[in-house]
Amino acid sequence: MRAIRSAAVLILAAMVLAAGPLPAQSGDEGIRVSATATPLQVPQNRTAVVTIRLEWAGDLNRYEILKFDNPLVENLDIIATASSNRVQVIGGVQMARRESQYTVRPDGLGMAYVDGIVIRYTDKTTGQEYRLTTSRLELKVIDPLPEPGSYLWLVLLLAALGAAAVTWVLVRRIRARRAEATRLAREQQQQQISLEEKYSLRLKEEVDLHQPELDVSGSFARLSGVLRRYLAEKYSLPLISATTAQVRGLMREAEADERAIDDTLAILEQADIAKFSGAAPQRSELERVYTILESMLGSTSR
Amino acid sequence: MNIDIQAIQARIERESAFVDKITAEVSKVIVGQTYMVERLLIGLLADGHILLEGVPGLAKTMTVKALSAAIKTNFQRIQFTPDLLPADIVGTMIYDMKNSTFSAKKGPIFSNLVLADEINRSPAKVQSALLEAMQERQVTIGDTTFPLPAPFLVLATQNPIEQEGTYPLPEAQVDRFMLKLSVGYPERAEELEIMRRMTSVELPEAKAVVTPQEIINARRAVHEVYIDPKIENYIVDIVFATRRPKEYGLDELADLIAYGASPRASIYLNMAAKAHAFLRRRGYVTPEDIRSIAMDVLRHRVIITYEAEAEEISAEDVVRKIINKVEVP
Repeated sequence: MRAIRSAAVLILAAMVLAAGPLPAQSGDEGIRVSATATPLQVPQNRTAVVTIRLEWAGDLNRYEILKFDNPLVENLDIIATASSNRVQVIGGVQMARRESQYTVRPDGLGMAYVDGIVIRYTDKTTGQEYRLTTSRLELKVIDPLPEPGSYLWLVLLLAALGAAAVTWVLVRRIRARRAEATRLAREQQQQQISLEEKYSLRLKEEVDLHQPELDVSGSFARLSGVLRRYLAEKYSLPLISATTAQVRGLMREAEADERAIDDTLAILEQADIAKFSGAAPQRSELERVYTILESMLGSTSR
Repeated sequence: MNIDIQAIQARIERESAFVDKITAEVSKVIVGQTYMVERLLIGLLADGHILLEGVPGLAKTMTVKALSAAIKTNFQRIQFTPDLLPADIVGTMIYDMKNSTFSAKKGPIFSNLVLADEINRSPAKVQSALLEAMQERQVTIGDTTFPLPAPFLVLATQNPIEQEGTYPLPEAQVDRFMLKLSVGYPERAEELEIMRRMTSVELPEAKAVVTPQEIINARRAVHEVYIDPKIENYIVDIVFATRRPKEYGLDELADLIAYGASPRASIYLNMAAKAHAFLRRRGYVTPEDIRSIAMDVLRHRVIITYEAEAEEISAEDVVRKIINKVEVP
């Protein structure tokens, strides 16, 4: 029961809404007048359209509509007017419609009003004259919308920046790819020679035993430097900042071969004497330790 | 430059002969503590005063006494207390009734070896009196200046705990000590031996086996130990790394060091390294000597910041990082 009552209320509400705006006051049952404005909230830099519509059943000539003035407006300017007549058949009934449209532009922010207008007409069949009054309309004038062209420069600037950023990213990627390719190529090239080969070459570069005027003391320093760097790289040990006495312990910790440890210490101890004792080292000693290091680099494989 | 390394080596061998004797005598009394004994000898040979820091009962005083007993020399122990006066150390003028004149009464500082026990228990004026005498190697009493005997070595001890009622040595005063030793606990086996030895009927005693002249001769030999420019640069690198750590790839230490080591650190590193080489019977200094002695020379000369203290990073941690980073020549 309750559900039926609710359904009836809903149907009634739907019918009221479908009927559209309430008709203006009329002396004749056969004619209806309505006044609408679209939109009801209008930006200050836009226009709204006010429509006065008259509708009746029957022929368009059934009534004679007397000329009426433009509506009085407040905070609005009428910038254009238009009118139209139309006849159509709706549900088997011929309907005549006459519309007058006023395009209005707001003057300032706030509320704007379109006053009701009085429409007088004559029923030609009876010769009786009637009058109708449209309802007063109110519109709300809101902040102006940005004009389509006003931010064009900003859009263009953003587009340019975007394009520049994309270009920059692309260039960076290309460069990074090239650098990576170069690095890989270099690594491949380096991998082709072993650690021992690399340091053998370095030893030959640092100490040239064929030189007749060889700086023996300096050669000892360079030779021990090559050995320290080789062992540091091979065993990942901090041998650059370690003393000769510490080297033994560090190499033992790294589980280096005992013979390699002995050879290393033999070279470093001899190099220490040559480097720090102030005595002029013998070339023959240099050649001896050079041979030991050479054989270390030759016999060990990675 | 051609150095007669063989002549230097021969002299070192000759002059360092007493080292074994003195070490043997000290080890009759002291078990272990080889690090402390060696550093005391370095101080003796390099003519640098030593500050010993360690908790009570680690044989700091006994080691110094044993060392002085092994040398035919004068030894004085001064127990620093809050009511000690400068005159109690350096001496004073006393009135001679017989001659009606004032005469100087020399204090206990007029000795070859002076043990300043618990130096931080006395106020600043007493510490200053001692430290001035250490620096100048002379004492003025009244209007007369007296030179201190040679060799003259001050060995001061301080206790890192019980800081209440102490007068910590200012940085400028601490800088006058060549070495600051951090004395640690003995090993288990050593502790066992200490217990047995000290509870026996006869307490061991060290006998005098070295004369002061032998020490003075050894000091001259220490001065002759060759130090190569590469090693000198290594010393300067280490000291500079305490001042400008960023230049040595130690960026993380920049905010931890308030003040780096003074030039006195370079001088003492050089001297102590020579003495270290001498004790190894070597006529030249190697990086090993520098690394071995660097911590004792630098730990009291690097002043850390509050940030470092907040992060519980000590001056020793900072010095260790520097030594491990600076490239060996």
